Amino acid sequence: MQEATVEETLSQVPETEQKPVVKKRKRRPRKFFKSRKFRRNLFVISMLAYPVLQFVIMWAFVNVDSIIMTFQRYDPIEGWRFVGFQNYANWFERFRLDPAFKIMFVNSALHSVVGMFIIFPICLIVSYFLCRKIPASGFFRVLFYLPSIIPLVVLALGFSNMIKVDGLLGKLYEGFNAQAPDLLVPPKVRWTIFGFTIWAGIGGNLLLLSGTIKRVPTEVLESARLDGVGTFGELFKIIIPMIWPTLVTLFIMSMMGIFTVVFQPLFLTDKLMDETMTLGLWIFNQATDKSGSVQAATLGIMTTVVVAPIILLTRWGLDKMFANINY
Amino acid sequence: MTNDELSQMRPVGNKSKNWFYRHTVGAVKGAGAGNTILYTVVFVLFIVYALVLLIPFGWILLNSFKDPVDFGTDKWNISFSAGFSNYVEAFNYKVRGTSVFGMYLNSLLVVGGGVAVTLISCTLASYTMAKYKFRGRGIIYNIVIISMMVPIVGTLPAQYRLMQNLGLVDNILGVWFLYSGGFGFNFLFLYAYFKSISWTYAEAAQIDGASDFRIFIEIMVPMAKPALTAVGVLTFMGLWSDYQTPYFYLNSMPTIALGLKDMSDQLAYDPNYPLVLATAITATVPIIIVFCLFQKTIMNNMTVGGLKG
Repeated sequence: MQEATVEETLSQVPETEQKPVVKKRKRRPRKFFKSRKFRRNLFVISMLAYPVLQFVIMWAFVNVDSIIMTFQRYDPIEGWRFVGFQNYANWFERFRLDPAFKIMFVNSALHSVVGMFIIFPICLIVSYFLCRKIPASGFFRVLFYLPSIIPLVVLALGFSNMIKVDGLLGKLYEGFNAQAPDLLVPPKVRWTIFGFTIWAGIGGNLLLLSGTIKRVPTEVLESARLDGVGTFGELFKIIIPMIWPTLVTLFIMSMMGIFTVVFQPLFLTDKLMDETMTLGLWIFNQATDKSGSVQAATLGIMTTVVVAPIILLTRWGLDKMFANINY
Repeated sequence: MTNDELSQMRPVGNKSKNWFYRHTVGAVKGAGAGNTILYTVVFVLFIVYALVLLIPFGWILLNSFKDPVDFGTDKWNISFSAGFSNYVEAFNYKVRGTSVFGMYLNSLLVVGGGVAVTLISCTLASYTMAKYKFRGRGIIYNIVIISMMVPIVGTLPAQYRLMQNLGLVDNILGVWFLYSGGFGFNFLFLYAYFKSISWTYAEAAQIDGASDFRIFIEIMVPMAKPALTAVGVLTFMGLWSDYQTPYFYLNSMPTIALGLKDMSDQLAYDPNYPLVLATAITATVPIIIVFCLFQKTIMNNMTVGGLKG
């Protein structure tokens, strides 16, 4: 049987089946959709879609809405309405008239100072000595880190029962035939809370700092030791400059303690007191109340305006102190 | 002459016979004679701080086995008068209509889902940002860094308003949505880790015809398993202790952190206080076990990844 030519075959085939051959020239869009570049872009978009969307909603939108809130007021009849700068004016008036808010700011600032200049340096030194393989360093590392993972309620429960009049402190005072002071009532309670944050906070950055210190090449440390560098020389002249970017980041995080101390006073004393109030706790307490939430948002924005430049300036200054060393 | 050299020249004498010295500061490598005092002081201070940390938890544990009468009589005597009955009773004690056992289940559900969504979201974001160059990548990265460095406070009310408007208050989906942020410290950590993985594996797979998605799932994710484990464990511990999110957004489904606080408030002046202590122990044990099991993984990966701001 004679073989049919290509043209003959095509003419016998129904129209629909001929289409791919006839429309061969119009394949350009399909090629584009199958191209490596398109597939790669599609992959990137699909991978980032959810995280970016979540970030836009929960960070960008919430922050913008927070700023909008500061110009609003909630009225049970009219609902939300704009009041201009009234909320800001109210706050300036409060700061002037109500000493409780001054105490709140001082407490928050002190928590920040405690974080930066007490907890953070102690944590660095502890991490350094744990990396020097002090005996039982593994045990100490786990133990010192535990307060960071144990629920704050449990920590407060343990700590408060130690310092109560009938707690361990009371027993110690009894030994000296003395009456233990009540550290959970004003004015001492204010300092008790600082003590609690130090007690529970020393191990906070322990894992991160230990990990970072361990990354410092041993050859560098060994050659320094051969040159007669002592323990503190090694810490201050070699390790600190080499891990400086990490230290700056963690120091800045400690600085933010002004905003992050929320539950320590509440859990330790079981009540809200002017003497122990912090910014974070005040905002937490007002968040669900519609009229209070406006005040909380305004207070937050005002604090951010003051503190954010200080934090950014500190970071800029600290970044300049040592060159970034890659190893 | 260095301290080390001096210490090596010194006769072994009494030091080698001193058990405490050999097992404590003498065990420190590179601790020369001049450092002996320093290391002894540090070691003693570590022991003191360890005791200061352990005593409160020892006290909680001790008193969780006492019956109310025994607890009321003396909070410092060693007694197991209640045996495990406080633990059994605590599991059935109801707060906000939910038993402590129910709170455990709630915690497992909330935290389990939270860890899963956090890991997925962070992995997607960090891998793509670390391994692909695309338009807008620098902008996203810088915004993420700025968002972490510029503290914007007072957003809690706006967040609550948004969640209310979305109908996500008192809804577990809302809590998971909150937890599912892909950018944050976990992102930075995983970003650094993915950056450190060589791209040659992916190139070889590409030559064999593997798609980007397949490279991600079958090559990169298994290679990042240690880092993902570390992030997962740290997230688990963080969410287990989280009080604020369930307080605002999951009132009818109290987790153990939330329920424990309520229970502590309810029983603060009740003779049955050992119940609170028993619950505190049961709330703490799971995270301590998880941490002890994975602490080497966490440590090793912190060592590899580190954090550079």
